[in-house]
Amino acid sequence: MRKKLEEKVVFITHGSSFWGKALSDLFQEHGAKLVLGVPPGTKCAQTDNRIEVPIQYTEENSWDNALKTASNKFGQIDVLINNFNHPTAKQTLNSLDTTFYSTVHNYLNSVFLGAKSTIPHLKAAGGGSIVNLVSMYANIGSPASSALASSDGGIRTLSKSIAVQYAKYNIRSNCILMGLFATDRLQNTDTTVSTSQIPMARLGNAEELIHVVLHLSSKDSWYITGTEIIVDGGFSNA
Amino acid sequence: MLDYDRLLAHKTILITGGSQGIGKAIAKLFATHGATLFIGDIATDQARAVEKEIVGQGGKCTALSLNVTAEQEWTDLVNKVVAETGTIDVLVNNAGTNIRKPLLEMSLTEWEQVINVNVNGVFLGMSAVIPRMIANRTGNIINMSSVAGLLGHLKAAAYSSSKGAVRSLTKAAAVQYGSHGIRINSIHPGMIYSPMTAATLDNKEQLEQLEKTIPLGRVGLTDDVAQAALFLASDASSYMTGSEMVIDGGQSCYFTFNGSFPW
Ligand SMILES: NC(=O)c1ccc[n+]([C@@H]2O[C@H](COP(=O)([O-])OP(=O)(O)OC[C@H]3O[C@@H](n4cnc5c(N)ncnc54)[C@H](O)[C@@H]3O)[C@@H](O)[C@H]2O)c1
Repeated sequence: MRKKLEEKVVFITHGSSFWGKALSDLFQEHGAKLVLGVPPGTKCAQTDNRIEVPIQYTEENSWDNALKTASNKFGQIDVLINNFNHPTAKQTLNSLDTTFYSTVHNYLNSVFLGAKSTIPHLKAAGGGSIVNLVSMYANIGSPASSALASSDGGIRTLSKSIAVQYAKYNIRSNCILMGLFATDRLQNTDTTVSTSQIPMARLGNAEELIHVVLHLSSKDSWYITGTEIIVDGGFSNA
Repeated sequence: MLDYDRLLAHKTILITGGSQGIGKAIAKLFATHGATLFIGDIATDQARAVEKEIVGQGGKCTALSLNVTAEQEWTDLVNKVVAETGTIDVLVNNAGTNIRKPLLEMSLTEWEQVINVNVNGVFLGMSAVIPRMIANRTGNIINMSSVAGLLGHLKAAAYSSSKGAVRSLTKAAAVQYGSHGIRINSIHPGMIYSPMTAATLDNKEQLEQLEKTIPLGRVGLTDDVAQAALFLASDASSYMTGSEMVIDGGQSCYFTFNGSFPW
């Protein structure tokens, strides 16, 4: 089978999370060399095609060190996946308390710092792709979490700014806006009500997201930049 | 596991306006992924030439005559496809037309001509295939809109309106038929080199000026759009419906005062 990321080096944040694992399995099948961000203090595993790097996403130094380790190992970086690692909406329910600041700080700032530290590496590689995973509340109001809507809406337009500013180096930047997926987090949650509002009448499964990320990471989408792809079974258009 | 060499094996796919430009690129790419193709186009001779080319390369393709604005022709064509293959899995509503004129210079007849092909054509196509897809409990429709359907375009009042309509028609139908297992999405190309745009893009001066407005610094190729259509037609996008894919080198993601890109 044709491999879509042969010889490409891909940095995936939150590499040991649910989405991190699903993405790294698929990307490995497609020939990518992987750099997986893991929490500081984790014992890091290494193989020929895959390393783990400890990283604190809200610290610029930490990004720089992680990327240095990565490029020392693989020689270059071609793709950055700012992975989805949001708390459930309930945890950020009280919109203007400190959770608001910490949510925006954690998500928006880490995408900013990630792009800032990674772009010089993408430039050196002759171009590359940045894929930002956010919730569908980047586009519409959220009934539960203003914090999430703010961080994700900010990431959406940050991504467009990155696209327009660094296109001259062949660097692309896009967002994927996610609806509801059957992840480990939803395992013990009753989703009947939300499912009834989804035109496709079901939650998405992991396979249905990771192939979209693969598409935006690969050269098959080389004319796509500064935009977003909504993957939500029609939820946000209903 | 998805087989990225044969993403469309065993799928019966109808592409309108497949005799040239973007539609032809889609047909050629889909054929290499194992699809059983039908091309519907008013330019029947040209469509036959595409059929010949694809069959010559080992693909499965039949060219049929279709005017997308004629309801009866849609019924006949869909019956023919279903009689031959037993089903219809994917419809690509790609046929489109443009009359480049500002609002005040456009006659009602010209306006209706654009709306008729670009909007009514898509409406009739969806109406013709959706009953079959409901019966199959699965289906996939891809509608060709444009960046002109997202933003106002100079000298293209009717075209912009028609493509905006295609965008929201896509979403309305997606929401309506999602629970039947039917996915419906739109594609929004920016400036793509094709017979439709050749007159503009073959003019070196105009091309250079245009490229200054595109962050990636080049116009798109029909293949760029075909790759997106392949992605939407395949199971790689199986949780996407009512969604849109913009393929414009970044042209619509920023705002500038003087219409040119700052470098
Ligand atoms: N080329 C671009 O830059 C661009 C940008 C955005 C969107 N689009 C859209 O992509 C689609 C394809 O564009 P293209 O550039 O390949 O254009 P094109 O003019 O090269 O091809 C259009 C095709 O549609 C067919 N067609 C026209 N009217 C028809 C009718 N009534 N019934 C059946 N077939 C008909 C034509 O015969 C032709 O084969 C169109 O919908 C167009 O609006 C193109």
